[in-house]
Amino acid sequence: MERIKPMLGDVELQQVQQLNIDADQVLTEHEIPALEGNFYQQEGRRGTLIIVSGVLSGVSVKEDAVENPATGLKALREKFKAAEPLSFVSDIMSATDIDEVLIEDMEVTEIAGKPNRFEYAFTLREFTAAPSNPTEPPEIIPPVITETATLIVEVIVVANSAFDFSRVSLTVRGSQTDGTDLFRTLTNRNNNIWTEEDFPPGQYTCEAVVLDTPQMTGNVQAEVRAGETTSVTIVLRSDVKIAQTFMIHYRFDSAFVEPCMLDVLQQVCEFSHANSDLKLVILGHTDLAGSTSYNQALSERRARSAFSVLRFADDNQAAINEWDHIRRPRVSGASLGDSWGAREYQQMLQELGFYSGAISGNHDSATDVAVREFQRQNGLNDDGDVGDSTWPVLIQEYLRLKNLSIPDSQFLPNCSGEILKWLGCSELDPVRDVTFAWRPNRRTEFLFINDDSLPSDVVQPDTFNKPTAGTVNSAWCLNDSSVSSRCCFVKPHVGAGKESCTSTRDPWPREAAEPSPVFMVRGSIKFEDGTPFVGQYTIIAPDGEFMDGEIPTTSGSLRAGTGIKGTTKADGSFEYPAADKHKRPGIFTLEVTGEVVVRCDDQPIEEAKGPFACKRLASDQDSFDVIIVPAALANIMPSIVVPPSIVVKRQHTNPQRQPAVLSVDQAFTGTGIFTRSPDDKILFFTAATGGIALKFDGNDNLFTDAQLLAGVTLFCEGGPNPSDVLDDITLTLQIVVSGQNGRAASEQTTSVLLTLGISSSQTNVADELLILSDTDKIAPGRMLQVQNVSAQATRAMVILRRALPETFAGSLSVQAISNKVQLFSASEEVATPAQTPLSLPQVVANQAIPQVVAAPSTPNHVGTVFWAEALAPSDNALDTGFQLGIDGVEQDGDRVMITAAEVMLSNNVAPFNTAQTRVQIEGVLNRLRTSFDINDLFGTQRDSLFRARVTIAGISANSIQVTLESETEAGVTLESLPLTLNRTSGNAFVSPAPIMAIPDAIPRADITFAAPKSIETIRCRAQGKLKLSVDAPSLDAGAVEVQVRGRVFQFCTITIQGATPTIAADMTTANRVVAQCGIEFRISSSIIIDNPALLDIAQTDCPLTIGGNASRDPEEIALFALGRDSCPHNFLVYFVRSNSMGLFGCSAFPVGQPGVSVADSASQYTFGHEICHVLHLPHDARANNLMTGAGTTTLPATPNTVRLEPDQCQTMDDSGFLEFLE
Amino acid sequence: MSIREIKRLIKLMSDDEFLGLPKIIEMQKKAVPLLQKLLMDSEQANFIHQRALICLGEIGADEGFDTASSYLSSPDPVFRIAAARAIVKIHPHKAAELLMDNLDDEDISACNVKIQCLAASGQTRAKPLLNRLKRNCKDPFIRRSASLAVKHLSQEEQT
Repeated sequence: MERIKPMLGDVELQQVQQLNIDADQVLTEHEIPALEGNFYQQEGRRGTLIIVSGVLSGVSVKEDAVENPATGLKALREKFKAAEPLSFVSDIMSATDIDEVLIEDMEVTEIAGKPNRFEYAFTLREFTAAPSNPTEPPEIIPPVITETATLIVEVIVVANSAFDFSRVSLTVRGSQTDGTDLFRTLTNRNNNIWTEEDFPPGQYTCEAVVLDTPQMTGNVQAEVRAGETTSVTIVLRSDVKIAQTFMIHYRFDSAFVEPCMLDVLQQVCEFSHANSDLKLVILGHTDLAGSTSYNQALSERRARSAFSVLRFADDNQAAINEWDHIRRPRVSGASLGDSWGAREYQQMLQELGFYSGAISGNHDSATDVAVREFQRQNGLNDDGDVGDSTWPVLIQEYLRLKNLSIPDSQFLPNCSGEILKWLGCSELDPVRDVTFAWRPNRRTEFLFINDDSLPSDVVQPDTFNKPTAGTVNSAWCLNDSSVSSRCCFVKPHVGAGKESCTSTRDPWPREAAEPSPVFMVRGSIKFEDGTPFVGQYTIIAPDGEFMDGEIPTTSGSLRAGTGIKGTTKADGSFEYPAADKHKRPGIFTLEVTGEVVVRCDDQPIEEAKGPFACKRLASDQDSFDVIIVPAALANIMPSIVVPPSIVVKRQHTNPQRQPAVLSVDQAFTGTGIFTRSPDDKILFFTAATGGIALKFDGNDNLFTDAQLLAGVTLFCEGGPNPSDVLDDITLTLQIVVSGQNGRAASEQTTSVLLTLGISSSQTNVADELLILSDTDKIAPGRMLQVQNVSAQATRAMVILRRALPETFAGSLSVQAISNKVQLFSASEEVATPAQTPLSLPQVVANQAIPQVVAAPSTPNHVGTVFWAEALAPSDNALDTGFQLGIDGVEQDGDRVMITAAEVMLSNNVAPFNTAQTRVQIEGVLNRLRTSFDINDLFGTQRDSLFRARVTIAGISANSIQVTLESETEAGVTLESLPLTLNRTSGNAFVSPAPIMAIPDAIPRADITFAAPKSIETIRCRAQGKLKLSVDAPSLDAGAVEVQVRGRVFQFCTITIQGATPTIAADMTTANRVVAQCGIEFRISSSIIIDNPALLDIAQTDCPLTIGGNASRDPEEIALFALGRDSCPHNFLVYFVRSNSMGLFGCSAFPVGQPGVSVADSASQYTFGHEICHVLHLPHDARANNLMTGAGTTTLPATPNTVRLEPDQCQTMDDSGFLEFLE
Repeated sequence: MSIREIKRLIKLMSDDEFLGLPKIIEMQKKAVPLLQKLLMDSEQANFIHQRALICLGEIGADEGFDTASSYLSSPDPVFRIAAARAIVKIHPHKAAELLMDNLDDEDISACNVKIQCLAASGQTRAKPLLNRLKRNCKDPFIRRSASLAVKHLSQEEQT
């Protein structure tokens, strides 16, 4: 009888060679105290173990054989995999009473050298079915205990045994066995092994990420079974590049970047700036609705529009042009046109604050009003039509809201000098491979990567040459291998099969730029008064998912891609507790259904622009709480108009108060509260002049609706303190309706402090030039001398300080308070007649004024310097000066005050004609008199008399004291003459007696005047100075200097050593005599020469031929040759001891070498006598005449009685030897 | 002619003209005693004495030689100079003898004038003295002056 073959289920086991059965009992040993032997407790029978082994042979047993599936290995393997109870039949099984078994182990071994033969062995375990539930529940239901497991994750970093595993972030995400999602970051680490006990069973992905350089990531699937320990290993490689990713999402079939998505792009920009070493790749995507080719262009439009937002600040016009093309109607093929219309411009106008209605896509009346208002405010034709002229401006203003910038250097290179701006992936790389409309797939990704090229070649975008070739780039250089792939450089690539991905390098794994756990989304919608809003809304998560679902395909009126509305609870709240609705951090978008205007509860009412709100939620601690703003509040637009800068009022200035206008755009019922911050930099008054200063006490800064509707004009002035920085003063008008805050208008302004300085007077030119204090520059101010024709009056430094705040960018203006003063440039401190005053006002850019960067030196001359002088005397004290203001705004920001005083020395006959202020000393005394009658003096010599006059304002007394000083050329005071000037008219004070300048050689005692007339005399020297100084009341009244005009005869002297002349005495005597002719002898140099041969010269004669003498004796010729080279004048006086003729002196000189010789025997007059011979005077027999031919020893001993007559003076004038010095 | 008249003529001068000199020269020998008296009058100013010596020389009378020569030893170098110039005009031969004896003078200018006067005397016998002076005098100016004098006398000798 043929033995039956063992059957495992319906499979017949062939050639069974061995079959073992192992059955045992479970006994537990218990020790019994004080007794020998143990007690064994029976705990039942284990499942019987059956081991069956044998051989399979023949072609039919191959795994891929199909001829006899019932006996093949494939069938057996399927039984094993199914892990289902199987019936097992065998000859020996009858004794064991086993009905069903489970395959616990299966081994198959191919026998070498014997094709188609396999050894097999099965370990079978007796199967005992679980007892069925009792038909009636027990009275006490035991608690359900969830079985947990242990998860052990080992992370290995290839080729880096010393890796610091604290850098690894290990996360587990997936679905628990009960269906709920789980996201957990593992923290229990021992070196490279993370152990998580009590871990819920489920299917998970374990992911290890290292974000700091070198970046690495890796993941592994883990099935965690209850009660078991699951160990998995993640291998990290340091050369893996990880793309840190942001994303924005789009409305169905649109590339328009919606307002909330601008916030995400701002995050992208900030991340870019914080990670300038990373490159940015912009990757557009679509969902799977529509054709791949259509979606390709759409994905590119999305990437392009996002690129333009990010680059607006870098190239405004390029971004505007790009959007202006994208917004145009779509055409067939790879269209750059996205067909934007009313929906898009409603969103843009709403974000810009022009439109607050629903985003309907319909150009209704409210939209029309908004469009026209936008057009008006932007200088466009307000026709309500958003056409080719309006779109670019609208785009510009919309993109300017964020004004983002990312430099070229953060993009990968394309062709030489060009960057990879963007890429489109069409539908080839979806987040989830779903064939219907699904917003998370409609996205643009922003991949930040630490790499310098794409891992694989990428095909040129379809819209690359749109709108014209070269618009995007000159060429495409990223596809050398002619691939057709578009986005295979990233993974995971969920849309497997949509695109064939063959990378030349490892694709970039994507990781959220801010990996964080998921959390439950919740929020509420209420009215301003706290009343819950019970109604519909739509909320979109940062990943693009409509939290309440999305219409997947168009069905009836339901259009694909639109969100399904949620409904708030009775208390206005909403939440999404389901695990599959938990979201990661990001910007959420919420739209409240209806004609409402909303804001987030933490936003001011100004942020309420329409039914949309954007908010970033980061954890379940956050809540998307939205307030519906009443239209009565939302629509009232307050405004403040205030100048951008206001001059600080000083005590001594009176700047015009600037108007500040508060208003609202429509009638309402409520109030407006006007506030300022800080309160020490600007003042408000109720009138332009006078009025009352606002105290901001809650009453005077509260305005009624009617007042605001009519417009409230306040008047502001800066101060008392200036701004620290530009625009640091904030003015706010807050609308309040029924106790609720409405919109507020805020404006910034700057309080500008201007400072003008002026130097104090210098009593000594060598003294430091000090700047008057802020107090002193106003009172007593500066006394400034009226300039005279010879430009001798000193000037005052006027210094313009940089205005505060120092960053103030306006221009400052310096203006004269009256035409009595004028300004000169910084280089013109010293006046000259040729200088031209600066035109006024002088305008100086504040930023061009030197800035004090450290402690200023003393005196502080940091600033822009001018030099001031007076043109005409003041009518009143401090009636002129300079003002400093802001050019075109306000002139009276600061002042320096000046009293202009005129100080004059003038001709006596035609007093105070400044053209005749020079003093001449010649002439007056050439009448040899010891006493004078004024009438005589006034006869023909009046011009030599002068008077002093000072025109000075602010003097109450009828006389002032002045000092007339005579100085030599070297500045040494020769004589000082105190004078009293009496008021003659107005502010003019004049010396009552005429003043006569007499030569220094004339002793004052030698001159007397006939009574009762008097005359003042002052000694002076030719080319010296007469200086008139005003002593009181101001030390700074200035001084006038006039130079003394005179005739001099200059020469040198040479003394032959051994001679004993009395040169000084001879000079004094001679000058006292020649002073009668207004002549002064001057010795330029005196030297002694050792020449014994010429000490006692031999001469045969001294021919007195006037003006043309000729010496003939050799020694005389030798004498007169001396000193010609060293003397600046061609006249020398030689002092010898004697001459062979016994003469006192001799004026004969060799031709061309004029000079005289004087012997020791000479009288006190010989010196002057001989010189006057050379000045063409012959001997003169008139009494007591210097030129006596009878020997000067016959002249009176007192020099002032020795005379030169006028005709002699004239002769000397005409001699050609005299110099006229001024 | 009285002493008063000679005084007047001596003083008849401008600072730069000796106006009385021609009339005194016209007087010739008659003026000599008057000039001698004048020279003996110590009350007169120095320039009067100087001019008197000048007059003695210009007159050239032997009677005046001794008076003039006596001033070769005057403490005032101006007088020594005036005397030297006068005596060489009165009697060159005798003057040479005196000058050779009084050639040494602490006043360089006076010494120089004496050497010049010696040369002007034409007395070649003075050459050895001048040569010694030329070789031995410490003052280079005097050596040069002596050299010129020797040269002058040599020229005179040849003519």
